[in-house]
Amino acid sequence: MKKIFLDEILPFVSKPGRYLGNEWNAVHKDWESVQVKVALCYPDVYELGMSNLGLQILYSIINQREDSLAERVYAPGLDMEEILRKRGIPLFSLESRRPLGDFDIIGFTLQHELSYTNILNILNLGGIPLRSRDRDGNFPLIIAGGPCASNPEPLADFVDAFVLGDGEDVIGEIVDTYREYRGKGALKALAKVPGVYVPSFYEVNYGEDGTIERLNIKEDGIPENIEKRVADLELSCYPLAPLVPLIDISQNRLNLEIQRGCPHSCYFCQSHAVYGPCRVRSKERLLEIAEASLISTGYDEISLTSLSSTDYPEIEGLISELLARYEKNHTSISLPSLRPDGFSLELAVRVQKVRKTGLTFAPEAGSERLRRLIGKEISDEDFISTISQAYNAGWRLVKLYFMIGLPTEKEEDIEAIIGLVKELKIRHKNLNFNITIAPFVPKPHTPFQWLPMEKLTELRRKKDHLSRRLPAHVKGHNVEASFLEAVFSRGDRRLAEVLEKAWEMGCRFDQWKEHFRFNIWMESFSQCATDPDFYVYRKRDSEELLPWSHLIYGPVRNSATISSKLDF
Amino acid sequence: MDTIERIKIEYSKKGPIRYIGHLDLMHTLFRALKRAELPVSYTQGFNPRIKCSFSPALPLGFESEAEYMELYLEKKIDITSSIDNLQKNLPEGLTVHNIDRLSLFGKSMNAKIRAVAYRVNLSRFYGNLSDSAKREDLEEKARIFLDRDEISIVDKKGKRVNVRPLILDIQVERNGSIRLLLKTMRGLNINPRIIVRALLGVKDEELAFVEFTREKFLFY
Repeated sequence: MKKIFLDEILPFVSKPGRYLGNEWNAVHKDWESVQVKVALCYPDVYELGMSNLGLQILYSIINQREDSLAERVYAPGLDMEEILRKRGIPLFSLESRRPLGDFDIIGFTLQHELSYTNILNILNLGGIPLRSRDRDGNFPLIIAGGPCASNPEPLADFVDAFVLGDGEDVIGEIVDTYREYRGKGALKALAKVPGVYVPSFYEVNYGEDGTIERLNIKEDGIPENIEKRVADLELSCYPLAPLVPLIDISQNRLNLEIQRGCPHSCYFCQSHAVYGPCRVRSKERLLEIAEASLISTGYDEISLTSLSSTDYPEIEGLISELLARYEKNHTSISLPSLRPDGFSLELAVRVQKVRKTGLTFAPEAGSERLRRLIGKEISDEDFISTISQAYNAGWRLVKLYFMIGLPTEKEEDIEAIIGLVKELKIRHKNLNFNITIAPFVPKPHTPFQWLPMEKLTELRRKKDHLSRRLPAHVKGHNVEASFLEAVFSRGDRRLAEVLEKAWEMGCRFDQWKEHFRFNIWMESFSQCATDPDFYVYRKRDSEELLPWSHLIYGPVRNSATISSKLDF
Repeated sequence: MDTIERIKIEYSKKGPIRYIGHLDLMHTLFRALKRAELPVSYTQGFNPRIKCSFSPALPLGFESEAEYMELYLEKKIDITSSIDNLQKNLPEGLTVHNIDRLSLFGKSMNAKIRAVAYRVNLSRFYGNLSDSAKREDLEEKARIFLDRDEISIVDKKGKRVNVRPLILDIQVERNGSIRLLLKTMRGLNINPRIIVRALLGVKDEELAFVEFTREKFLFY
């Protein structure tokens, strides 16, 4: 198909810089010279997608191969979508501006359940039938990976294969397999690649009560369970020339992933299962990566990314060495995800020499009892003393994250959040807080996976109460959006219809407040005669076959020990 | 380290990169300078920044053959090799034409702008201008336009402003372009879209296929 000409489109869209494809370090390969062409799609806006490290890693690995190329696609803005539809232009990749349908493989990253309508929209804009069964061998294979692949069942009818766990090693095996078999014929071979789940080889039978009765394997040689992949961080590929955007994006700096997984095992947190086990890159390797990629990008800020940076064993040495090498070049270091303790604060003080950034802590719950129950062990006393140290070190604004609707949560736990912040305000009048309140969503592969989510009415009441009473600037997550997140993170294949219906009725960018339409979603559930409460409010029996029971993310820390603490 | 030199980097902005706005372009150039390892000076203080200034913001979507950046350095550089080195580190569409040494304490270039010349390609909007009837029609329009004492437009705040004194010249070219020479007053530059809109009597959205190129700055 012919290439798309930007001049016909860009004068009519906002933020045209999203669609240029000529970022620094973008790879433009000769289309005819390779055997396997992969479009890597991030189903949300450019500014988020460009900030995602996983896609940059895959982009780099595929483009290093001589036999394949990777190009990028982000969810087009609504104005762009309108123009494409009106003029009958198929959605195209940024680099070669070829229609999506020209690629062999389309890879989606599943970062968030509320991006699913964007996945359908991208396929549709690319002229690709939504359902796997409607696509013959002339269409690209649709593959998806990322955190939400830990329960991909709501997408099972749309996606040909899911990748569980780290993508670094398996991506090469997927390209090799595709190259050998090509088209749909590759699926049977892919189903045997460790970590690859091809849902069409499995059939789900439901019982009368709506729960899963059994999972049938439809062909010989297809594995009963699929275990997620774990890459060796030290040996695996890391992009030394990452893409540098030409417009501002949400993480506009060099991402240096120092550690994957988290040494802590907070019971509410899915990251433990999805990104674990906790692995580190050596200090020597990180310094090599930093040196090469600062030169290749020109960035003036390095972010030491991980789920808990201060747990990196050589964190002090790493920071000292980076500062010694690059501070004179006006390059700063940022440390996301600090734990609320004195050591983290000392590190934060050290990296603030060049540029002052915010300080963020996530105590998650207001009372010590509840924090202990969710595995977030920090005493009120330690927390208050850390914040006081931050104040004395010069910070005047601290961001805090709390959850509501946690298991066993009582009024006194909610009051404890207010008490904690008030106590801090009494001690430090000039210290201001930005507080984010998020509803707790019980997630697959966590010890809380069997629990119901708290009722929307209660969550709304708690959120409003906190917003009124907290002496701080309070930002509350949309509780209806969390409800939908609970449906799709814990849902099964029967949700495909609901998802497609909601997309048909115009749902897009559901994680954006200004685009989220809860009434359309509820209308869609009702038209499909599907009860969302079944997925959200039902307590699962510990023997129940869950939609994700055949997907192995390491042993789920059950239950017996934790549920003994819960009065359910 | 001390600042010992001020230079002027002249460059053009063409092709798709014209859809990158002023602020984003600044960051893109800062990163290119860093990749090229030019010995740039930084400001003092808590948030050190590269000591520099840019030619006036180019509207989004405009090409330019006349952009410049004034930059302070802490070391002497070799001009020829620096041009090559910087060029190798610039994204597609940005081309360095020249680097000049300026006197360290002189007036900034932006304070010396007298007028700005633009080329406006109307061929995708107005049809083929090699058709002489069409060209004569446009020439006539320009003549009438320039004969007026007052051309009032409504600015962003809803105030009526007479822009006639800002128009120094309009010429219709054979190749389908018009050339505008617009005066800079008290450091302020008028967007040529406003003038073209008034000249042709059309709305802004109708100008989507009109191609604007900044050709030249005229200095005092």
